[in-house]
Amino acid sequence: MYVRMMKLCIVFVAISSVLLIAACGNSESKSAKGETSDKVEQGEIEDNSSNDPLVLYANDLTDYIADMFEENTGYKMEVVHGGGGEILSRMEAEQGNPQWDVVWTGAMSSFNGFAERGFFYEGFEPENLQYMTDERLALLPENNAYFPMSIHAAALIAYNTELIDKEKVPKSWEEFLSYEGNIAMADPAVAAPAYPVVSYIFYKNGLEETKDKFQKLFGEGRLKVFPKNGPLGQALVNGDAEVAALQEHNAYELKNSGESIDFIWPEDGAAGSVRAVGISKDTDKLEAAEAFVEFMLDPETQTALAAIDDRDSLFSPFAKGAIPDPIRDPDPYIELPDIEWASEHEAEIKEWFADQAIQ
Amino acid sequence: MYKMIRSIKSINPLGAGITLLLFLLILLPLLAVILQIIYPGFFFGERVYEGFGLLLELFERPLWKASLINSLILATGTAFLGTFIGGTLAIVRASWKFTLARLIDITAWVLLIMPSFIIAQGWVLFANSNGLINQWLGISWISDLIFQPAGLILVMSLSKFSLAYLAVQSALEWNVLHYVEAARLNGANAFGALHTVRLPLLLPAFVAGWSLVFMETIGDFGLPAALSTVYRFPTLPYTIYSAINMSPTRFDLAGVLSFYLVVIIILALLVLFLAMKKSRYDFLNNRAIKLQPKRVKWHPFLSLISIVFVVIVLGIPIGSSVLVSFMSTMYGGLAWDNFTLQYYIEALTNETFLASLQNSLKISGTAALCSVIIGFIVSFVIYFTRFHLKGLINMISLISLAVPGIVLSVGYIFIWNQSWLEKINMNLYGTPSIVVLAAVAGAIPFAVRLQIGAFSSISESVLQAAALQGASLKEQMYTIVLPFVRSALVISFIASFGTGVFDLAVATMLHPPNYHLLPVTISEAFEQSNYGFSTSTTVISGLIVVAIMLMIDKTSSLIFYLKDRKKESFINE
Amino acid sequence: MSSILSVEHVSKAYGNVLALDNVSFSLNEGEVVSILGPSGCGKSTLLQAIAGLLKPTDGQIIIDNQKVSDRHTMLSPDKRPVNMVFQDYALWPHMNVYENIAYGLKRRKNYTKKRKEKVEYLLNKLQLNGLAQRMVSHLSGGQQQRVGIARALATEPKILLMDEPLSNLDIKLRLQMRNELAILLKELHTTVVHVTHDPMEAFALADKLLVIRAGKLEQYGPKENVFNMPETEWVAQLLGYTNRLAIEKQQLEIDGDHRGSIQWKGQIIQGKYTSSEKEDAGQWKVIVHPDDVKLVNPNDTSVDREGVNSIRARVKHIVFQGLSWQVILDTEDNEDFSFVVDQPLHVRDEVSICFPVNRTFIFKEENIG
Repeated sequence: MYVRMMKLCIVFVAISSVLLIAACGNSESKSAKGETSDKVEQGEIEDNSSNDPLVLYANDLTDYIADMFEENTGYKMEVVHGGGGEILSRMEAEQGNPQWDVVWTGAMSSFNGFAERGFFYEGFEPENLQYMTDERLALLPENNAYFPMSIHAAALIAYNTELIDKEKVPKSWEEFLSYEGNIAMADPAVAAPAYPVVSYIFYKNGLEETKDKFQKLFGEGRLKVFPKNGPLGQALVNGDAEVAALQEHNAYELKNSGESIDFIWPEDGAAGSVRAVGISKDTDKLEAAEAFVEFMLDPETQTALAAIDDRDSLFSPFAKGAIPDPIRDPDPYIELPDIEWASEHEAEIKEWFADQAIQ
Repeated sequence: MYKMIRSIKSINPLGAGITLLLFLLILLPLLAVILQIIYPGFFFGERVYEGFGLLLELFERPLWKASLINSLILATGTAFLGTFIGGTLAIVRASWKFTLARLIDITAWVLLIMPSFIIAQGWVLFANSNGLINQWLGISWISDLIFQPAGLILVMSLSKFSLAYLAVQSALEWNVLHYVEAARLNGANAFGALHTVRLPLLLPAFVAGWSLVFMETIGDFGLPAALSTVYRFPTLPYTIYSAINMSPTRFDLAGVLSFYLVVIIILALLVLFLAMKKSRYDFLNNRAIKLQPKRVKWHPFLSLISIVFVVIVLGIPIGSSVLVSFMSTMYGGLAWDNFTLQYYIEALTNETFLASLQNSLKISGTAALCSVIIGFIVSFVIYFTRFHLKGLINMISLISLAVPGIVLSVGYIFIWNQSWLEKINMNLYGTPSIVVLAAVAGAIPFAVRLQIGAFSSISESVLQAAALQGASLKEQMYTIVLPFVRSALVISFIASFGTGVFDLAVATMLHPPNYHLLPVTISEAFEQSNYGFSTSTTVISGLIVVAIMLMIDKTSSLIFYLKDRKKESFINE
Repeated sequence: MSSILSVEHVSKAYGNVLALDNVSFSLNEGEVVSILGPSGCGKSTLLQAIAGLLKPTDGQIIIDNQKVSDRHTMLSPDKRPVNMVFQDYALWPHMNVYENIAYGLKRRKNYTKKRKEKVEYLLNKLQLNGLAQRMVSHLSGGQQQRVGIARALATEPKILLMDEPLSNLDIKLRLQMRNELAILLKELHTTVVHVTHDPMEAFALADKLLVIRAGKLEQYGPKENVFNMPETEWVAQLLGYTNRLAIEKQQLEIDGDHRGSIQWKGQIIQGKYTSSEKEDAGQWKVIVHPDDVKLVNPNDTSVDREGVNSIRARVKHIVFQGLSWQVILDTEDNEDFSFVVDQPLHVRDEVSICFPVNRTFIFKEENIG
């Protein structure tokens, strides 16, 4: 009898130790995020001093945003930083069980898709929408599932000044695709700003024709795809590519740091990446989440973000009266594909691109 | 019916518990991957039967087809070349005596434990078009040589040959000389004896080595991850990673690709079993070699060759990383004015790095401890109990050998991210716990195989003797089994810990948001071309991990020594 | 004397193979029994069943009036009042001699103070003085053997089990240890169950013999009885009755109580006959121990032929053994028949031999594998 008890004890310890470690770690991390049920109730009776922070998924300016928000509104915020693609896939993975309250990233077409699948809390009417120009308000979805707040060039045409003369640099995306040398771009599957670029080029030049052109480039081995804009810029510096569709702030950064890199704004418009804010439909901190949307649409916030000494601060704010980063071209020509079109073709184009890029 | 009642009655709780645990840790995630193929969305609340159509989609998309083909080419090529390199080295090592022979053994073990993404990063830094060799010596053809399938096979072979080396080496432990002599006396000439006696005896070891290298290579995530920034060579593990971590997210296809990967590995595992059945020795054990090598006049030449070899397989990847970590810029080259400690200062003051170091050490320490305990219980149940499901336990522990971290992680996401788990506070996805669980599962094969090796040296009568002296099961474990296997316990703890800290696949796939893990931090810095940071953090964390491993080793031998001393003094009283 | 061990209808099946087949016997306190049989006959299985190292499929075992195993329950070995000397000694290599012997004592509460005393007594008893701190791997085979015995005795078992205790020793040491062990067992008055395949070892150590053949109990009784009256040809052969004469099919003449006579090549041989079978006709074997065979001078008529069988046969071969010669007779039927003489004979010579009638056994022929 005693032996049997002993054996049972050992088994119990073995199983429970593993599960306990798991569960402990679990509740620890959960309480850090403040999602234990009793605290949730507190949060709902609007308690600004509550310890549960609002969880934000974002890829840019993540070092600053939480402090700015807390200072401004008193709500605590925890920022989860991730690459653009990583955030989208994390939202996808957590669809049954979202860990985020608000998301802020530059992937509006994906947001459109998420909105259709009901990821977002809908119908919120922020007061600060009053500051948006009519032109920008057109980007707002009808059900207010997400709120566009700024635009920047996901890509302009950057080139290595040692390798080609300024006259030979393609002036438009059309010329970019028919350029005779080696060109490079970021991978739309990985980098958040890359899909806006690809989708814009496809949208502008027609789906099938553009596919043919890309296929030719891939086939001849003249188009290299890099996972992110960082390595893409490096490749341009190294001379692995002569011309690249490089994100705006990477181009500025390389040029300003004295590398032999320059860029032009394409005549047919730089491909734009719109940063937007969305609220999770499952959030239990709606109050704080709505405050965050108001905060992001506030011209003062947008001015403050643009004033940060960070390459991600290069953008055109949507709020009237907000001041863009002074080092930047004051009136860039940035274009967007039709959002519905971009959203509808997103999976198709990304997969097609990934398939072609293996050649 | 009678039989069933009997078997239920005689269930051994220890065996049942450990079976349940192994099932939860290893088999369940695997089953989830397979279930996901016919019921995509099963774990997201959409239970719709879809049939096996998804399996065929693999052949429709060029990327997935290419991944499959790339993986097969890389693994097959590496298996052949790696077995050739490892086998040749083992034969040379066993046949002739030379001063630096130990160096080859050490190299093999170092390569076995070293994380593949760090080796691969070293090679990239070395051979990249703006890498060290091109920067300093202007040798640009190295880049072209390495960054093509054959070059990758070469690099992989140079880092994965260890398994083949150890497999063949353990076969050479057998002193086959008298078999050869018998063959000669029966009229075979030297060549005849070689190919009728020596090679057939060694063949199973070569086949075992081949399949081990194959499995290790095809499941490897480190190389494609490190390569992704410079050369597009999608393999199955990397494409599985992309399917989950890149847009558009395709969980269903991650499941399908994982399924293919597991099927291929299981086939290789069958080859391994066949080879092991043909031979009667256990490889991957820690027993010494006792065949006496011959001393030859030209042994300095052999030592020279070993030095050159070690410089290539270890010197290039490690050396490149160390050098780059001290270089201000890659373009500056090997010059005094390019020397800097800035990246080390940066690393040591970088909060993300320090947090990831701490987290990774904690997680892999916990995981190593758990896996060692599990390994102990598994070995005990297999060796010393009459538990009915022994075969199942053994099978699961062998399967765990075959499941790459990336597949395990996919299964973990499926299992531990279901919304109903949230209600019982067991939704582990997005928490550090899931990383611990996956790390435990990943360390189990090491822990179990090493300890089973140690257990096999305990004869049953030794335990029976203790039982007859009145020792209970617990006392038998503590007083007899533990002292026998204690050094194996320490070794498997050290091995699990060392490999766990740098497990890129599990860390990348499962790390919770804002929870930094060392391999992810290093790998991300590398992806951003932030080479100074990635290499200096690699060097710092590598040194710390090695120091901890040595410390555990030394401390444990000291404790064992003191314990033995104490026993003696007790007798002298 | 009361029965300390009672084995009742014990069987052990491995799949379809019966390692033990309905074995029953009992043993009195202080007796030494040797379980004798060839390897693989199930004798070790029986020992393990008594020790509690395996569970019998059927039957029950009672030790010291306590039922330790039956069809449903089994007391684990650590709860049984037995201890064992293993064939490979099973000494724990990570412990020294002292620790090995003291191991079991540490598990008995009443020995906390007397432990050291007890171990020293055993060290002394088994001539292991001065070796207490030696690691067991540094001991000779004989010393290891003695440590194994000391360890088993330390817990003062009601029954001491010995599994081929001498088989791992070389021949010289084995003979020496056999006698030492015999003396030791006599001194200790412990009940011992001893397994061996060597009849000489059994004779030297045991009071009783238990012969097992293919899982079945073949014969059980005091050793002299078993030796003097083997019940089957198989037992006889196992105990050293190696001389055999094959008899053609004929009727056995029954001369009285377990007495019969039969003809071999026209010569009458009388002997003990134990078969209970009614059928007296058939193939027969005459079995004789080589040591009972004497050479006789056919011309010497003074020898008393009463109670003695005498036959004539030719010498087939002679083996020089130093002080003596082994003579192998040509029985013309491929059976062994030999004896020892103190002076050489010539091959092909015809000789007369005799052997006592009461040491001659007549068995119905059976197939001995």
